[in-house]
Amino acid sequence: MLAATTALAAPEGEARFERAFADAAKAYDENRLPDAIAGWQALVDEGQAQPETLFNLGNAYYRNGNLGQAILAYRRAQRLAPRDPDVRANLGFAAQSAGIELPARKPLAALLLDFSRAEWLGFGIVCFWLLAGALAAWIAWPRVRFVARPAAAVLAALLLLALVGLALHRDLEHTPEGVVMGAGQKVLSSPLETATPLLAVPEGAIVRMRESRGTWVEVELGETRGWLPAAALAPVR
Amino acid sequence: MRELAPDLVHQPHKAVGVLSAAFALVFAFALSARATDVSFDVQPRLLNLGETAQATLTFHGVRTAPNVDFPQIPGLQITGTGQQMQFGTGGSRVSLTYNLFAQKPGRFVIGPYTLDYNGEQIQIPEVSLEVRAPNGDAAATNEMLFARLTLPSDPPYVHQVFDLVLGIYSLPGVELTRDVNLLGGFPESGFVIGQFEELQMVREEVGGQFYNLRRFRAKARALTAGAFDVRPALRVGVVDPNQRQQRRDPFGFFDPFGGPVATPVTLPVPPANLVVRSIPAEGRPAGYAGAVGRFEFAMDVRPRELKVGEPITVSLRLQGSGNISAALPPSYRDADLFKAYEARQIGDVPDPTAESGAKIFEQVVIPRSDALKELPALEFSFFDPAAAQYRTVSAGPFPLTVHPSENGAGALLLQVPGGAAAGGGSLVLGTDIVYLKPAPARWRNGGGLAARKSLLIAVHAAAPLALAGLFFATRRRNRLATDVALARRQKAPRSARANLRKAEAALKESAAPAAVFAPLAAAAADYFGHRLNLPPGAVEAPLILEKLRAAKADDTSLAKWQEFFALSDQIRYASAADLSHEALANWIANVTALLRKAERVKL
Repeated sequence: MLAATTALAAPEGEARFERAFADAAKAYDENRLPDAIAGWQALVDEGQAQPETLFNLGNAYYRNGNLGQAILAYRRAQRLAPRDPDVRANLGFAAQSAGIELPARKPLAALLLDFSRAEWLGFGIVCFWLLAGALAAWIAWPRVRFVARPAAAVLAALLLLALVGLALHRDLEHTPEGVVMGAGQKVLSSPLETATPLLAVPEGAIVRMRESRGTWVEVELGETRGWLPAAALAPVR
Repeated sequence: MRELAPDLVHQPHKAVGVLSAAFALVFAFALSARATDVSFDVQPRLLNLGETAQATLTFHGVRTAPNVDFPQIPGLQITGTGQQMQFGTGGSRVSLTYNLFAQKPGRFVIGPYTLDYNGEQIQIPEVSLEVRAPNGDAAATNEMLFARLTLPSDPPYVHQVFDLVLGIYSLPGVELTRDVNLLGGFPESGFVIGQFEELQMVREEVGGQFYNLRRFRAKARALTAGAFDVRPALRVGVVDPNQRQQRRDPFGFFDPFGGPVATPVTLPVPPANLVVRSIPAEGRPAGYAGAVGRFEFAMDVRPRELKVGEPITVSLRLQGSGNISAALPPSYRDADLFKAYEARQIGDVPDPTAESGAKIFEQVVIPRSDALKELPALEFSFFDPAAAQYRTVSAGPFPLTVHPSENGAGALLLQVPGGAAAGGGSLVLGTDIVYLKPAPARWRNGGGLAARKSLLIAVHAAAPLALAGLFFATRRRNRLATDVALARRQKAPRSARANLRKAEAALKESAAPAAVFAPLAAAAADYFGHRLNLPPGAVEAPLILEKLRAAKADDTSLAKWQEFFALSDQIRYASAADLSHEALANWIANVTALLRKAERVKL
């Protein structure tokens, strides 16, 4: 079903993307980092925000000294490929270079977010159709009800799990994580430039963006809630 | 709330109360239209300063009364205390009660007033109240209770912490309750004001009179420069000396409900203008970050002997008085010879209104080269409001002995700053990031995403519909399997149509009446056999006709059926009839029509 609803890119488009990707990689190897960043960023802007593209973009930013942008790209890659060991390693490396700790999640949420939205969607669709099949067997063939009934219950539970996973990703869409851009940012107690600073946040720190008010965003970092200028944040989407 | 208007016709006294009543307003109020009798009384009318009188405004012959506010009378506070309703043989009446509390001795005249009540002008008579000073001198002018706000003598600077002191002055003998309420009056934004705390009570002389002074102090800090109007008000409870004396129990029994009965008194504080100065731009050091007050800055660096790549923990301590909560110490920035991480605060964060305190930060610095011989000095600048000038304090430099790394000079060991603060060891992650990934196996087709999403939703919405269809189909199938009569009823039209087709085929082949009428008779027999759930041998013309008659089939149909059965028997068993091709075709059409009619009849 998923395959049936996924259209393939046109061959000429694919060739162009392949070429742009290879050019960016060549620029990276030749230490032409601005060119590499521009190449991969162009691919992302054209809708090719895939884990590989974002990972390489993060590498280019890291090499170029843009820690905040690097962490943003790695975090975006991790949203798409949460269990990719390379993404984890480079994100952790960049985070430690920036002197930040990655936000801790509750165990169940961390487990569910170890699967991407696409994975939960695919799993949910499979569960949905298997559940429909089990219900159909339950209705149409009384002789197999003793199997169909527990199967339907298990599949319904799995479908529910998939929906919870999707809901967590949806929550991350609505109140996204944000990466602090630029050094010397301070979380303020209220959305005023003269407000009391609560916390100094280094470039690359990952905060949760809770509410937006004008040019200010209310953020949450650990136990602290406060306000940062919207221009100092880039949402992980 | 309704206010009273002074009676301008009858104005026998130019008393203070009458003058203030000139500001009173009259409001319309829709109530009963009949004439209303109103009485006004104050008891007692002769008071010592500090005692309370009670005023009663009674509306006779009504069941409801408006809330009435008396005009302000300087030195006399009139506070509404409630409403009482009485219903009896003499008619109903509503009484509004007020506490009268004089803040200075003298003669107070209340009224006369005119109340516009439902279009009716009601006269409220004048009542005078004599308040004597404790020494019996009614002419004494000292107020018994007032409040003052004390602001800093010099205008404070932005972010400078200063004292706000509210003082309540009361004559000796005037007993106040412990609770004091602040009724606002401070700027709502631009200030951080802490909790008020009560200082020790003192005695102060004002105008030759000694007063007890209760003082309440709060720490405040302005966030912006400018001039601010400060006009706070306080509410205190004044214990009536008469009630206080009555409540003194001569037997010393504990009375759980016997707390002091106090009259709430609102004390307006004379308004003040608070000017907040901005911090001068002249002479501002380059590293100044907004600290105002007096601070000390100290540092510690450990270890002082280490290898390249090993972490140094730098402790930065800031201590002093001023806006300590907003002050941030300086820290190292990345340099060629060392890498510096962001400084992190450890320990508690001082309250925003804290007058003084300390802040400790820790920063991790990692030598990149053994050429690093010292960590340079750091400077902290602050503005000293007392001296009205900037000051700079410094700490360092700190000599270091850095040895080459065993892994080579280029190796980069990474340390989690938080872990170092918690006493954890260094964490070696590796020397570099993981290299690039190859191109994705499949590129995305950006177009048609919305269409695909719609299709996906539509396909999945179809599943529940298909399940519902399956459910109803299965239920029907099961019902037909268990209900023979229903199954035969469902089968009846199909079997009739099959026989009618046979009759049409026979007509085309031979046009022999017997060949045509045999399937026609079978069509009727099968149809009614299935409709009526009869065994094959039980389907007979009389029974069918009887059932049709019982079902109130029309006479024409009955006659046709009768004719058909008779002709059918004649042709099939006697073979006497000789019918033309057209007549046979007509009979096929007739039987078809009759069966259609029978399908609509409830048998």
